[in-house]
Amino acid sequence: MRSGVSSKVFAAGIALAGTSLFAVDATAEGSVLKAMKAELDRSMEVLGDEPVPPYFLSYEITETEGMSAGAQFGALVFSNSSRRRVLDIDLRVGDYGLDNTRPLRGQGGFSFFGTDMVVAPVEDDADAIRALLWHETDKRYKSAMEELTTVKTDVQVTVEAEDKAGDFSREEPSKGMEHARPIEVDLADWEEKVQQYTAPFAAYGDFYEARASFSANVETRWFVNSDGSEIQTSETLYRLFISASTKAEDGMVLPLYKSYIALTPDSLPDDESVARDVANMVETLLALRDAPLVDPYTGPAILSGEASGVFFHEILGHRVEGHRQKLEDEGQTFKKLLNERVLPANFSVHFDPTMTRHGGTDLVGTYRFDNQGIPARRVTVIDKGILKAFLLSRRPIDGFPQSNGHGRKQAGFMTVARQSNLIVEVTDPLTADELKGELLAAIEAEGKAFGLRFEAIQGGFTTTGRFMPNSFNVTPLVVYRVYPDGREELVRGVDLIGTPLTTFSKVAAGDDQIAVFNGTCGAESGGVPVSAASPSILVSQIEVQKKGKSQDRPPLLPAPIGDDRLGFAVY
Amino acid sequence: MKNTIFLSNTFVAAVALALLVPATAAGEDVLMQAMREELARTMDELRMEGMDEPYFVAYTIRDNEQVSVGASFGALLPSSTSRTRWLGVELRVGDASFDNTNFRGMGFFGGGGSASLPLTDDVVEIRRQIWLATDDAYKNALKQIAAKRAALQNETRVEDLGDLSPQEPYEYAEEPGAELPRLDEVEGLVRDLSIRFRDMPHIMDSRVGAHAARGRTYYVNSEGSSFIRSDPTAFLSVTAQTQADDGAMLHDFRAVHAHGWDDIANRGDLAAEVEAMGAAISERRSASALEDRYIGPVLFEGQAAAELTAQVLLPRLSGVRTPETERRFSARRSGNPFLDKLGARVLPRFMYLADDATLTGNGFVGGYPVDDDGVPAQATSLVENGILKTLLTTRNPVRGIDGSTGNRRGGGPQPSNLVMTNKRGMTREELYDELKLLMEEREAEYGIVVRRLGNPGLMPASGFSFNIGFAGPGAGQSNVADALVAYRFYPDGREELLRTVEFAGIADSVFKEIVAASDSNTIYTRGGSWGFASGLVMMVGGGLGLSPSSGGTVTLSVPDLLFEEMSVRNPTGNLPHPPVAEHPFFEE
Repeated sequence: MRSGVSSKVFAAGIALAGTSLFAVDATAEGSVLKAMKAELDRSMEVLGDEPVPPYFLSYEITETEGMSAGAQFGALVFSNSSRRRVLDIDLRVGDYGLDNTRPLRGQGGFSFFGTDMVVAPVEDDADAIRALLWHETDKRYKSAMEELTTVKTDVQVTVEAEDKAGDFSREEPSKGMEHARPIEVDLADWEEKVQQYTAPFAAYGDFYEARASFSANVETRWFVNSDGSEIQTSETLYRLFISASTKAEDGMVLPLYKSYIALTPDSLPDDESVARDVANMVETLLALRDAPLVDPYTGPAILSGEASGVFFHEILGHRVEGHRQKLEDEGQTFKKLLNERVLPANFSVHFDPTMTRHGGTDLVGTYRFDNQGIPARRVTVIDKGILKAFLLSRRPIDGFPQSNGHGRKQAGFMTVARQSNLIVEVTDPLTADELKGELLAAIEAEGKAFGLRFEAIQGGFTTTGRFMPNSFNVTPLVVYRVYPDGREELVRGVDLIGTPLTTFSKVAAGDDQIAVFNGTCGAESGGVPVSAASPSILVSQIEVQKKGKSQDRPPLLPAPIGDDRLGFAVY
Repeated sequence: MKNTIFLSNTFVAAVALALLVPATAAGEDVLMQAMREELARTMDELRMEGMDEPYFVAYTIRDNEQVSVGASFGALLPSSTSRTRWLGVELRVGDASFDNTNFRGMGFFGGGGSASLPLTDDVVEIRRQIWLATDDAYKNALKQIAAKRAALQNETRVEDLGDLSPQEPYEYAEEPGAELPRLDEVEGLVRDLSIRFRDMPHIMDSRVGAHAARGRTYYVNSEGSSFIRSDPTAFLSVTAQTQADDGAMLHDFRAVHAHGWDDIANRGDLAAEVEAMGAAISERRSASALEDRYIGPVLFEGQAAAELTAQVLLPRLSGVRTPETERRFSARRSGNPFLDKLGARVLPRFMYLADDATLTGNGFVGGYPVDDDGVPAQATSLVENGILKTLLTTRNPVRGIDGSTGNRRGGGPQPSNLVMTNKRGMTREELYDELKLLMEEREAEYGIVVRRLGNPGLMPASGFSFNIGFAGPGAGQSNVADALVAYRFYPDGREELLRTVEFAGIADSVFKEIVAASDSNTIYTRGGSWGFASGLVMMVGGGLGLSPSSGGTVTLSVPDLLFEEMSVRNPTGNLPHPPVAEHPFFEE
C-alpha cells in the first residue's frame, strides 16, 4: 500500500523535475519543522541586531532509522535496529560575495569546521529541539564571526583568486512536504535470509570470509532556511551485501561480492536469484584460486557496464564537481575544457537525481531536494562529446552563478557539490558481439597477444589535487584475458590505473548493454548514495598494475569443518 | 574433486549435529566446547617446521548484551541496544622465559587474533572463527619473536624477567546475572531525570545518560585454567552546565555505578540529587572568584578526596613494564615512576592502601571473582606505613614483584576496589582544628576546602576542541581537573563559596604531604576514561588484543584528606561571551 503511494510521488517527481515537487499541506506540517522554523526566525531576529549579523541561516535535522542483520557462513553475527538524529547548521556572516565559509588558501584543503556532529533528540519535542538549536546556533554564530575575520585576512594576504565568483548563490525558496515512510520489512525474516544466503559457503574450508549483511534505512530530513525554504523529505534504502574471499597459494586474497541496493523492498532480488548468484560466487572464487596472474600490461580493453560506470564516476564525475574548479589546490582537469570535445560525439553524460530506475534497476543517487534545499534536476555535463556544465551546490563558480541541485552531504558534514545518478548515453550503440569484434580488431591491429575484459569491480578511487599525481584506480574483481581468436580466460592480480585526460581520449565505442552500479561515494562531505548507469565500453588503451597482496600463507591447519576430529560424541 | 569430499564431510557433520543438539546442554557448553576443541588442535598440531611452537594459548569469548540511553532537556537522544560475541586469542611461542611478548618493533604486530563470533550456538562456525584467528595469531607471534631476537642479538639484557609468570590452574564458573532492563524502563528513568532541567532556568545544557550491560566471559587456556564469569554493569550519569554573567563556564556531574540496573532504578534519591546539583551550579554563578593565587593548606572532603586519589595515585598503581624495543627506537624508559619507588615512601607513615577485588556490597562494585588471565581475585596490600610494597600486576613479570596479583582487566593490570585507611583518623571537628592550625602557622587569612572535583570523563558535551598543551603538567606532575565545589574557610568557621578553582600542577609526591585524614571513608566508584587508559596499557604490555575491556570500573574508599600545601588559582584563560539570545524555553 505504502509503496504504491511512494511510487506515485516519484512519478510526479520525474514529470515535474526542475520545479518544486510537492504542495505544502499546512495541516500536515510536523512539529519538528515548526520548532525549527520558530527558532530560525527568532535567531535571525535576535542576531540581526548584533554588529555582525548573519545574512543566512539554515537548519537541517536528519533522522536515520535503520535495522540491520548480518551472518557469516550461515550463522547470525549481528542484528540491530537504531534511530538517531543529527543537526546541521549553516550560519553565514559577511555577504554572498565573501563569507565565513570561504576556504583559506595555502593551508591545505581540509577544514575542521562542519565535522562537529551534533546529536539531536529523537523525540518530536519542540522545547528540547529549540533548546538545542538555540545552544548550537550561538556556538556556530561565534565561530562564524571568528572564521570571517580569518577569511578576510586571508583574502588580503594572498594573491588574487583565479575564480571571481562569490561564496553563495541567491536562490528561490523551496517548499516540500513528504510524510515519514516506514521500514517495510521484518528484521526476523532477514535474520533468516542472511543466514540462508551464506550457508553454501560453509561447506568449503578454503573460504576465509563469507558474510551477508542486510540493512533497511529510512532517512527523514527536515530543512528550513532564512530564504523561506521549508522541506521535509523521507527516503528509504534497502541493501543486501554478500561478500566472500579465498586465498591463492601465493597469498593473494581473492575477494568477491554481490551488492543489491534498492529503494523499495520489492526491488530486492528473490531468494532464488540470490542463491544463483551465491552459487556463481562459489564457482568464480574456486576458479580464481587457480587463475593465472597478469603482468603489467597496456593495450585495448572492454569495461563492462558496471566497471565503466565506476570508471566514469572516478575520472569524470569527481572532476566536474563545482568546488573543485574553484579550489586553488585542485587539479581543475576539466575547467578550461568547457565547450570542448572530451568524448566521442556519440557519448553524452548526464547527472540525473530525478531518475529512480534505469533498465529495471533502482538508482540510489536519487533525491528530491539536495542538502541546501534546492530541487533536484537533471544536468547534462557532456552533450554529444562536448563538456557543457559542472555539478553545483550553492557555491558559485565563474560562469555558473546558480546551484543545479547537487549540494550534497552526509549528516554532520559540510555541503559540497557531489554526484547523483550518472547516466552514460551512447547513440547508435554497438551490440555486445560487435563491441567484442572491435576489441579483437584492436588486438590484431596493435599486434597484442591478448586484450582484457573487466567484468566485476570492487570500486575505485581518484586523487584530484595538484600535489599528488592526478590519477585514478579502479579495482577489478573479475578480469578476463581475451585472445585474438575470441577465447576468454579468467585471470587475477591487476588493478586498472590511468590519468584522466589520456584515458578519456582513448574511449572508442559503447554497446547497448546498460548496467547500473549502485554504491556509496565518500568524499569531503561524507558518504552519499550514488549510481552510475553505463554501457560496456571499449577503451583503445588502458594500463594495469600489479595488485598489492598479503604475504601470509593460507592457514596451516585444515578448517575444522572437514576434520574427522569433529567428534561431537566425545563431549 | 576436492569439493565433493568437503561436501560429503559436511553432510556427515550436519547429521551428527542434528543428532546431538538435544543431548547438548545450553549455548554456554557450545562456546566452551568449541574453545577446548580448537585449543587441543592448536597445541597438538599447529606448528611450522623449524619454527617455534605455541607453548601457551588462551581463548576468551565475551558475550555482551547492552542498552544505552540518553536524554537532553527532557527528550530522548538516540538509544542503542546490541548483542555481540567477541573472540580474543592470546598465543605465545618460545617459552615462559623468552617469548614473543614484551616487545615493540617498527612493524605493526597485532598481539593476537580476534574475531566476531556467531550469536547462534553453532559449534562448527565458532570453531571456524577460532581456527582462523589462531592461525593469524600464530603467524604474528612467529614474526614478533623473530623481530625480538633480531633486536636483542647485539645487546646484553640488563633485566631478564621472563615473559610469563607461573600460575596454578584455576577453574571457576558462575550463574548468569540478572536480565537486562527493558529499553523503555531505562528510557523512562532517564527522561524523568532530564525533564527536571525544565525547572532550572540557569542551566544552559544538560545530559542524562544510562548504560546497562550483561556480559558473560568465557575463558580457557592451555594450562588447564578456565572460567565462566558474569560481568554485569550499570551506569547513570548526569552533567549540566551554565555560564555566569561574566562568561565563566560552570558545570557539575553526578554518576552512579552498580552491578545491576535495579540498584540504580531503585534508588529513590536520584531526582532530588539532580535538583540539588542544578541548584548548586546556579548558586555558583554569583559566587566569588579567587582574585589571586592561593598557596596553603587544602582540605579535600568526600567525592573530592576520592576523585583526587583516582586522578593522581591510581594510574601509578599498575605494574606495567617497558617492553624491549628495536634499537632504532630511543630507549627512553617512560614507564610508571612508581616502578622505582618499591620500598619507598609514597604516603605518610600513618596511611595504608590496599586493592581488594574480592570486596562486594556496601557500594563496592570494582571487584570480580577471577581476572582476565584466569587468576583468582585477591586482596593486595599496596602501601603499609606509607611505604610502597608492591604494584598491581598481570602474569606479565615486573621487576621486584612476585607473580600476578590477579588484576588483569582487559589488556593490562588495573585496580579493582581501592581502600585507603589510616591509623590516626580524625573526627570532622579535629580535622578542621588541624586546618586552622596550618592556617595560623602561615598567618593565612583563609584556607581552602574542596568538596567536589571534576572528572575528565564526565565533562559537559562541548563539541570539537583541541587541547593545546601550554598548560600541561611539568615533569613529575599530574594534571588534575578543576574543583567544582570549593570554599574559602575562615578561622571563625565561616565558609564562602568559590566558583571554580584550578590546581596549578600537582606534584606526584603530593600524597606524601598529607597531614591528616578523617576517621570515616567515602566510597566512590568511577569508570569512564579508565577504559581509555587500559587501551594504552594494552599497547605497552604487548599482550593480547582484548579490545572491549571488562569495564574498568574502580571503587575507591578514601578518607577526607588534609594537605599541607597546594597551589590553586582562578581558572586561567579568557571567558567566552554569554549567549546572544535567551534560552527559548525560559524567555520572557
